Amino acid sequence: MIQETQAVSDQLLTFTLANQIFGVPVLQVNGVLGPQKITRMPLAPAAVAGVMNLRGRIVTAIDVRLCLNQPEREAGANSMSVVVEQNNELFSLMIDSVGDVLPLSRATFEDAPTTLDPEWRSVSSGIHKLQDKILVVLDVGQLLKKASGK
Amino acid sequence: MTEGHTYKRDQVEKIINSVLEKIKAPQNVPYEALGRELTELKVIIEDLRRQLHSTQADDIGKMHIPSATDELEAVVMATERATETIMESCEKILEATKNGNPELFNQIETCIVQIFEACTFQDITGQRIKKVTGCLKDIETKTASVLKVIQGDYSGFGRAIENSSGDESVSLLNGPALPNSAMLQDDIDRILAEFAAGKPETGHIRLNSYHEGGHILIEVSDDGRGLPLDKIKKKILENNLATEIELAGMSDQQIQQYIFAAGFSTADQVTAVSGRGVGMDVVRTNIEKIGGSIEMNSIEGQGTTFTIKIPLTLAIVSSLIVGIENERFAIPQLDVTELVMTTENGPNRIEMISDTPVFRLRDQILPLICLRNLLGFPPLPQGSVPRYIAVIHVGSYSFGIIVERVFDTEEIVVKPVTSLLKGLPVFSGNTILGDGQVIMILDSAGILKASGFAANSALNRDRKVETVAGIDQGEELPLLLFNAGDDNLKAVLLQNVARLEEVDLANIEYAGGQRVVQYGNTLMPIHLCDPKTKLPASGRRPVIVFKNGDGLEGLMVDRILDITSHRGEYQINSEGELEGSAIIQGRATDIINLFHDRSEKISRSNGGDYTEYLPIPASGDQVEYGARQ
Repeated sequence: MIQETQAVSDQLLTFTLANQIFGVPVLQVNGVLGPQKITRMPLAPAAVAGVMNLRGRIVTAIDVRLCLNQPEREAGANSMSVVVEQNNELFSLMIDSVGDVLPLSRATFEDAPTTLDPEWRSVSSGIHKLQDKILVVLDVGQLLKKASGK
Repeated sequence: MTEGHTYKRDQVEKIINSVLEKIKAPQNVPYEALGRELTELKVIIEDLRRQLHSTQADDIGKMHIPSATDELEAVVMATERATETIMESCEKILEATKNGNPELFNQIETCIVQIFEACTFQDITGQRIKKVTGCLKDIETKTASVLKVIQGDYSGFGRAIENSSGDESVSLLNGPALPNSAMLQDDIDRILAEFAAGKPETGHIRLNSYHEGGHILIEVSDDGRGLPLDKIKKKILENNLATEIELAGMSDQQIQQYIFAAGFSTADQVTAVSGRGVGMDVVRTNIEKIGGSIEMNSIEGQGTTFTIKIPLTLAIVSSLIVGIENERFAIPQLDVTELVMTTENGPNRIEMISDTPVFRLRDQILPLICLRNLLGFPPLPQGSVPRYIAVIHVGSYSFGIIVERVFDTEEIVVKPVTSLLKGLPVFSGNTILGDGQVIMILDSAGILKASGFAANSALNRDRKVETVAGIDQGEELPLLLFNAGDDNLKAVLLQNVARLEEVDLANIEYAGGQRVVQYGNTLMPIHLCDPKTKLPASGRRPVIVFKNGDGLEGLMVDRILDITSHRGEYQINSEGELEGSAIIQGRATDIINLFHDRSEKISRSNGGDYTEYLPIPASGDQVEYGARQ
């Protein structure tokens, strides 16, 4: 048992967005939310969907689709959110659906291929080769930086 | 004991009981009441002392008696000794009469036994009183120490206490402060004496606090000797915090920041509590813990200024909730002076100068900002929604924000805007309303800045409305009225006009990417109110000539109309294209700033002294502008 956890370097929460599977380190994740009422924020960058109230804390909602140059979600399509904490601030990453928590070993990890869309490359810290598909590991800090338009 | 004493004893008992009761519940000790009771106790004891003085026994008189209980004790001791003397004498009498008349001996023995009994009783009473005096002594010591402690607290609250011998100046100097946290004048004196080397005897420590952009700023500045750079450098090298080369590349200020490093101290002497290099580190850590920052600026020999910046995260602000469509926003109530409901027609209508909305508020032109446009909502045709104006006063600048809905005022807790949106000046924070919705808080100063109609000048820290070239508001302001581009009335300040010319459009040439005409033997740049205006190829146009810096420049207009005097206030903004707006001849009029930088080539004038201009008729329907060609 101990050996097994040692072999596991990362536990990732997976989610899908535009038919691609992504992962974020589970330790960064604060929670998972269903659709929420979001207050639009005028003048904010497009990727910032707005702000919302999560148990008395103000959470900034980020539309990950727009960060990754994907078309906007169709109206009425279900969206879920992964809440992450960064520098004592809460951010809610709006994605399509949440998957699983996967323990992944370092062995399947690789840097993102150089040919990957630079927009994607800039927000990913690498990829994991899963059996049937490839998982992109999201770098939350970079994603937020991108969302702020800097 | 006299009746008076008995009464006093009851009183003492009562007071002690109530004191004990209060002490039993230490979490909410009413210090004031406790103090009052103990003071009463003190009065009673002193009273008792006075009474005992009047009934003093012989040997007491010789002693210096420090307290009432000692006196009582002495009385008891004297009585004891007296009793002993009586009993000894009785024994002697008994011994002496043993060999005499047996009948007399029996009688004497009976009497002496009675005396003995009485004396024993007296002795027992004495012992009891001794216990009482011991107890009283204890109470007295405790009362004294408690009183001392409580009076200490009193000085902290700045209240005087009856009979307190404490130095009143202490409480005066400390001012109102929380208990135990007041800084003693002695400490301040000590610091000043220690650190103000080579300075005049009087040192100043200045405290200043204000509120700016969602932060509370606290400035503490002194005029002491500042931070010794050489000493800090030496310590940095000693502690291996930086190399000499690194130090060489640092500014003085960067080097001084090392005083915040943990364990950094330039003190020569290290005591149990000071000189260990902990203080500044703790200060910074604690300020940063609550999301604030501390900045320091020190000039050696001139003093040091600390600026502590604390976010208003937990500040509660009374705010007016307004709305556009279904979105709500909060405007801090402090900035709002009034609310005006507008109508489509009639006196309360919003007027337009070109695309700029203005409103006549009690005959003053109030510039307006449309919140809908500012926040990028899709524009709506006029008249489709009701509109309100929130009149905002920032510094000495007034303007109106057009909103579509006005809700209530609410007490809101300001929370900082997400770090992703720090660049948006329009919002100072956000908050959660009672119904759980998050709304944004508008920053009035930021809106003014973002809308661009108030360039920096109006928002300078001193926030003074500039007056043009020494003309006070309220004085008569001579204006030159003209048309340019459209039918709206425009004006320039007559005092800035050098002369009026008429220029043949055919003579306009281009030099350095701008229109010029030959004027005397120099080239005079020609400006248009609206640079996009297309000029016909020929014809004559009036030009307002003004002196900008060293050269003359001209503003080409369509028609010169009149010279008029305007009395009354209008907003002046010397940086932008518009100097202000005013109501002239019943019409909203733009006052154009001649010195507005219309091209990069022209250096901005700082509004100098214009003495060189032709006298212009003070009145008249149509101004004659004679060509000087």
